[in-house]
Amino acid sequence: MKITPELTQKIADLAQIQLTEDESIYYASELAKIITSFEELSKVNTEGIDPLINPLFDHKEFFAHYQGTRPDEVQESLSTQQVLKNAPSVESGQFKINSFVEE
Amino acid sequence: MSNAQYEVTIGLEVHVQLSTKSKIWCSCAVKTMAQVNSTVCPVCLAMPGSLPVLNRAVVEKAVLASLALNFQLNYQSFFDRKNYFYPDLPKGYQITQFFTPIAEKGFLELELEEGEKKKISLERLQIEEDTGKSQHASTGSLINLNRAGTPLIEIVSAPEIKSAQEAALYFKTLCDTLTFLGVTEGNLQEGNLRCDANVSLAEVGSKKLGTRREIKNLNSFRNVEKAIESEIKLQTEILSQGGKVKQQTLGFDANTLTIKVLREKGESSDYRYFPEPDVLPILLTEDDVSALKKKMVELPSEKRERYKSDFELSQYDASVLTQSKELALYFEEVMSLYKGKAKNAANWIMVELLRFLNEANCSPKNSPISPANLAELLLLIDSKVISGKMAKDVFEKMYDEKKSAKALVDELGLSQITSEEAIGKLIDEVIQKSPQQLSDYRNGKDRLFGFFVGQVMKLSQGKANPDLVNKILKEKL
Amino acid sequence: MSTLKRSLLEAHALLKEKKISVQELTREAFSVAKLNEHNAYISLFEDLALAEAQKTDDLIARDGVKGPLMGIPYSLKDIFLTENLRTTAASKSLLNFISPYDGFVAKTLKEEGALLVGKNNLDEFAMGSTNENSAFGAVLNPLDKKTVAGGSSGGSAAAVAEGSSYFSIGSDTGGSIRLPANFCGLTSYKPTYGAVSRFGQIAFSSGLDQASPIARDVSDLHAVAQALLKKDPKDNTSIALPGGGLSSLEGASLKGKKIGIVKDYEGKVSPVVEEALKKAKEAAQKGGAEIVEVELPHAKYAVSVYYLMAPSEASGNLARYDGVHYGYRCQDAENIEELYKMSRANSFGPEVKKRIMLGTFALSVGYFDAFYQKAAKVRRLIQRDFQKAFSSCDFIMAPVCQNTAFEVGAKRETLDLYMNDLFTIPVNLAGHSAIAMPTEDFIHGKNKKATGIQLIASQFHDSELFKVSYALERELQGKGSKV
Repeated sequence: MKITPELTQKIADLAQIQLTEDESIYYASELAKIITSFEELSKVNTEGIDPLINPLFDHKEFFAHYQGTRPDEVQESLSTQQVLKNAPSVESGQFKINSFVEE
Repeated sequence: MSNAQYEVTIGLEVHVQLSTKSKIWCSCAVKTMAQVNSTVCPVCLAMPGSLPVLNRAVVEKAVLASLALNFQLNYQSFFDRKNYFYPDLPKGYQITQFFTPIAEKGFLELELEEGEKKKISLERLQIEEDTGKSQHASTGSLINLNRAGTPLIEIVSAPEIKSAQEAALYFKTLCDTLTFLGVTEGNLQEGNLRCDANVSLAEVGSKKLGTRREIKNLNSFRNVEKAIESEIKLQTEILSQGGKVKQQTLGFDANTLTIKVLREKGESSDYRYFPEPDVLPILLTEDDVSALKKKMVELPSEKRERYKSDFELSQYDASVLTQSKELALYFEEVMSLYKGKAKNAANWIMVELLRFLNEANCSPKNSPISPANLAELLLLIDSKVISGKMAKDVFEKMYDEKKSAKALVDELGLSQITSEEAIGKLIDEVIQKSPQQLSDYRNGKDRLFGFFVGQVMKLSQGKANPDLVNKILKEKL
Repeated sequence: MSTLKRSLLEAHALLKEKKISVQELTREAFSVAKLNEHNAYISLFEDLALAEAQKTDDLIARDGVKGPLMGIPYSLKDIFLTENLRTTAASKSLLNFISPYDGFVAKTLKEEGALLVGKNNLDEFAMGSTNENSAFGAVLNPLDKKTVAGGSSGGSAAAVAEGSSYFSIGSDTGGSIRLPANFCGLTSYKPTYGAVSRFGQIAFSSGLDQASPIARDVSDLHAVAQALLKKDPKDNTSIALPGGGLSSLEGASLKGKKIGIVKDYEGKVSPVVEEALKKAKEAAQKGGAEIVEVELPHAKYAVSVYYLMAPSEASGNLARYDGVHYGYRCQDAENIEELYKMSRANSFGPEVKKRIMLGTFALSVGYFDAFYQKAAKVRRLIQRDFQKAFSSCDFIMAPVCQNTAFEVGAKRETLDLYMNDLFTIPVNLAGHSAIAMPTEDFIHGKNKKATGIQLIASQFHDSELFKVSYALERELQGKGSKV
């Protein structure tokens, strides 16, 4: 499995992390080592095996009869001030960022 | 526009905002008119450490919608993450149902012209969440997260729609059905329903579908129709000139009625879907579903059938009366109290009531004339206490003054005169005053009958019952 | 060097007997914390804590000591949100993040009356096994400052071992509390998945994370765990343990218990660890337990499974750190694309970036089936191995780490580092519970090469796990019953 700096750059783009050229070489090498070691998994026979995502998902007693849900009731939200307290930039009570064109 | 050589194939994806009180993953209020960033909490703000907890009512409404749209329910369904970065998506992923949605394989029946019906297959119904909103200024873009976390269901149709008109009808039928069901408010201006249209053209007789383009975020029946019409025109031009349609994502400018390319589909989005580990599966039992089946209401198409068969109304009348849930319920309430000829009730509602309501931009729910009041008026007309003509005046007063028909009739002393004796006296008076017309009539001038009728009506201030006047006048003349 | 004067329960007894005040305990704790010998803290809250201590002393004077945690100085791994106090996850992305809410752990311990000393250092976003990946510098091992404290909850372990807090709440996703406990001579508990609410815990890997206390011994741990083990409506993956929480440790015994030793782990540890394992086995037998052999044939794939699934979840969980609504934003960004890419590039350290990219890759189109999905299926096989093993034993005894604590700052291969978690990861993958304990008193003794073992119990059997761990600890360290 060849992890090239180019592929690494594409992955970084998907993850929205900027990499310098040196970094893409470094991470390519790191990722390659790690991913190569994962290839041992391909030898394991998993025919007909259900994936395990969360150890509670098999235990219906925890979510049968709407147990994992909440009633449709409104509770107090944060104040606008609290919402914006950690915001890097604010204008007119909203989060401000560079202009972008809507898709 | 000749596209006779091309067959159009359309598939629609509709996002429907559910009418729950609180959001899907948190207890913030779902409110359309709210000050910016005032219905936001750590969960919908995607603060570190926050976790989603599913609103029970979302599952219930999704199941109701699935039942109404003839879907097969997946008794166990799961949530998944759709990963992408966007300023109005604070988590950096949307929680949706990709691998196993709550319902699959349904259908929606469209009522076409001339009583013809067409079933459109529905591929899936999935539960997901809405994003925040952005506003753009020259100095930057502003984000408001009030809408983030509003519960949605997405309904995906099979590519079986064949024209722009059919698409608009599909969107309208879906909207009406779900609004009557109480699953959504159905207010398009507020963005309760939004539609993405996938359109492709292929040569007639071709077994393959053409390349499709997707028009995003159409928010009215008219826009759906206009946008698809424009798109069909564009694609026809491309293909008839020997060009190839590219897989693109499009937007529709409703003001200029133009299609614009938003992005090339090829360069998008690997959403890296994977199962959502933070949310337990939805598990429905037969009991849950039975309990919800009991909450099913009569759908608009079912109402129209019933109005035609039980009330003997025409398709047209039935359609007008079912134009909104409120109006249909108003009509049914009137009928439950009136119990007379449905056509009478229908006419008064469709012509008189709607005229006033539309002028005042008032919903039937808030009508100054209650269904009980209208029923009473109809009964007064039927029992000839007032004439049809008088009733119109009374009706207007009822609307303006919010009084009941009976109260107004009494107040204004408008009761029709129905006593034969009283009418006889009036006729005698008129005959006395008009000896010349009397002898002329008796000498053969039959047309003077109308004169006597008119004089009696004038003398009685319109209150004399016309049929009785005719009868007794004939006797006396 | 440890100044660990007494255990939590001993402090509790002193408070009850009015032989010491909360303010004294607090000042004592801060005198150690402020020395900052091991870089165990990212934030200290002295003024707040002393004010709180005075109030608590007044409450105690009026109504007595309400529970074992009342008035006890403690610390939190800096991934647990605390209202109006900074929570950083040891990351530049959250350098000055002030939470408007208390998470479950902070809120619960506040209600118990415990005294928050400060927020402990950790590997950034809980990713690491040496606590060298922090934006605030590495944590040193109080037993030997030339060695690492272990990770990712290194700060939690160092704080308790140095004596500046009586217990800390760390977290364990693949061994992140058991490993530092092991390196620092302390005892720790990774609950059954779901037993402690994750609400207010900065997420690394949602299907694996659990808040995990660390303390001086099993009975201290038991007192802390009891407060935390309850269902929380704010986390739908939180459960109430069947049987209603932990039973008392009274009458705990190893008699008749079957303890499984994993055949597949044989020969995989250093001589020191081998010796510790042997000692623990013998102690268990002395206590009346029967040793049986069990197999976990797929456990050898656990590291690959973990390093595919956890980073995948993390790539989603860390997507919110984009500089838009909170956290670090690059001020030089000239457009929206730069805002995202430059903010995130400057937010995260190399290990975090590596794992985000690993996860992004494992989930991407064309690789999802062979990597993420495949790993999830092998995870199921590991779960089944455990099921089979537990059908022939009550508890599994296993090493915690192949080696003892290694040198701070030494250059290490990523894959070697990942192998530190070989014995701890399988427990998280299957959702089981574990208690890791030292095999001798390293804190007060001469031998500073701390090591120990872990006892593993099947999902939901946390109460029994505590009892048998308590019994084993007694055999190992000759402790008398405190309960």
